[in-house]
Amino acid sequence: MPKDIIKVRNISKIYDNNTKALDNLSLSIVEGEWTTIMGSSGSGKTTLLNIIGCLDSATKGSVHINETDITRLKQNELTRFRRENIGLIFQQYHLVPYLTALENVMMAQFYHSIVNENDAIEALNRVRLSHRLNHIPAHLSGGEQQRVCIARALINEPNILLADEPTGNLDQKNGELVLNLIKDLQHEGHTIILITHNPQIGKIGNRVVKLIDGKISS
Amino acid sequence: MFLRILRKSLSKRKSRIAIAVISVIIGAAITTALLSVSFDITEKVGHEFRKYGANLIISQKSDTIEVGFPGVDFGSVTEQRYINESDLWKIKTIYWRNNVLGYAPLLYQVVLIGEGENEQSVVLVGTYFNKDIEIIEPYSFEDPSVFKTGIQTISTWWNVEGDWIENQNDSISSMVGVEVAKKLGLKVGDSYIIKYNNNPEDLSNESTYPLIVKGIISTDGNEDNQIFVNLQLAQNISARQNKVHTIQVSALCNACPVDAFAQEIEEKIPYVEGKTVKQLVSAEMNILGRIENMMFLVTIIALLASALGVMTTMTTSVIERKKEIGLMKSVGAENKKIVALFFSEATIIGVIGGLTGFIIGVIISQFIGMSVFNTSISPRYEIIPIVLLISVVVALIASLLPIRKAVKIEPAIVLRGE
Repeated sequence: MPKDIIKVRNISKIYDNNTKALDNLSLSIVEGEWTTIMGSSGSGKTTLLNIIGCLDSATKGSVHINETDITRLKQNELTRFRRENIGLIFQQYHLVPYLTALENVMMAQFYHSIVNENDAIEALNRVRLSHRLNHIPAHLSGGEQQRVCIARALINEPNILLADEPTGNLDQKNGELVLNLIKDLQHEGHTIILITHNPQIGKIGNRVVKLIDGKISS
Repeated sequence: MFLRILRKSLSKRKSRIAIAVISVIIGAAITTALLSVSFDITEKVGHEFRKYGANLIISQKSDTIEVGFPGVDFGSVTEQRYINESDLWKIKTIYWRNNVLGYAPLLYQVVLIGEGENEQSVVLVGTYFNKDIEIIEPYSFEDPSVFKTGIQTISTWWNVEGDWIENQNDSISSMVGVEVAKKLGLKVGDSYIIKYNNNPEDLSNESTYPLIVKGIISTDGNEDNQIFVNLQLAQNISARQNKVHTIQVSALCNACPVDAFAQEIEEKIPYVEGKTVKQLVSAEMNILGRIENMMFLVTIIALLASALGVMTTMTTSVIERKKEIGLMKSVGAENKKIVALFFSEATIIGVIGGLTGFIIGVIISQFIGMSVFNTSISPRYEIIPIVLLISVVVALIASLLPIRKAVKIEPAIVLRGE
């Protein structure tokens, strides 16, 4: 029986200006499941993703990922934990503009462990970009850049993929291509947490979590 | 991969990096120029000072004998004692021999010029003008065996109308002080007669010597009232062969105190003592000290300006690359890797700026040398590591604050889309 890979318990996040982004939120995510988080702007979905992605810390409560309580980890331990367990896909792609598609993927390898160019090429093959290895982001379409971003997220073989509006800047065709890729990754066993405003995308995943004012509404 | 990221990151931001490099170049160039000048300045200024006369006077130790006993001073009596001319070569055999730019022996005697009421007493000085002195036992076998020196070498500041006495055996030419020439109405080329009497009581003992005015000296000093002839002639006139009263030494002192010269000469010629011309020496040291302080301050200011330039550029760079740094962190870059990236950039900026600054600094030092000292300043390649080190350290220190900013960037900003 699949286990809970992520256990969020009573977390709150209050920013310096007293804005409460998350309010005593609890959530469990099953390994290999695709969870879609939806909600209006300011509902706390990106904050939740940041905390699960070890990019931000909760003001209170605990988050267990793979049995590790990440709320107890120090900054450097969080960085190491993130690079071992979590892959990030961004709406804005966030590729380094002066590196080629291949180098952007290799950069993630470099910061993780050892650079292996063949593995990086293979990752770009998987996202069907073998013909664009040596192109810099400015010479790639939005869809291609997002696929480089996915290849980069995959390269270190994390078991959790966090995607923040991955199709938000793409046309329908490219959006479908990216979603199909993510679906493939789920079938391979990755746990997917995806943020979107699009109800159609919500239907693709196993489960939809709706946030309102930092709380789960359904 | 690190080098690839570094190379591409630098080449992507060429204009920003260029500004930082230019900042370092300015600091490195000024540091190089002033260091080069500083290394040469003591020597150059020393040479300049040496144009204004000797800074060490050698005389016979027992020339002046203090008379009295503790608590009671009866003054002194003077006993005429001499230095042997044959010992002069020893001055050029001391440890600091290469810093002995020149020396001139002086033998004084009073002679009479003119007839009847116009007869006047004048001091006749015998000296070397430009004589080859044989160094009988050189300090080292590499040292030359002949040293050309004389009053012409150590008194380049004298104004001479006419010519110097060139021939070491010339027993008829003289150089007359401007005041003597005025009183006696002498001009260059004129002949005149001097009279010398060893015993003024006995006029029959008086001998006369015809002389020609080869040059008229103007120094605004005692020399204006004296007549200079070859030492040999002066010795013949007063029958004091091989004798001199004093020796004026022009010593170039930058790494050594003049007193050290005096001490060494006293060891070589035990019956003499050396006295430094304190005003000249202290003025020299004072000016050198001030020049060095000024150069130090200018260098510090230039380096601070450099650091400011690098810091501004690096800070702008960090702000511009905020997302990139956040992204690197989000994909797993630890702070030490971010720090390494920026420190490497700073080091490259320091090295390029330092090397280019060195080349420009050498050119500037030439300009300073020619315009201030009227001489070229030799490039000193041994200061390359110093300039490189200073440039890199300035670039690294200037990068500390921007790097601190970079380290504080939170990876979450990438997801927030800020």
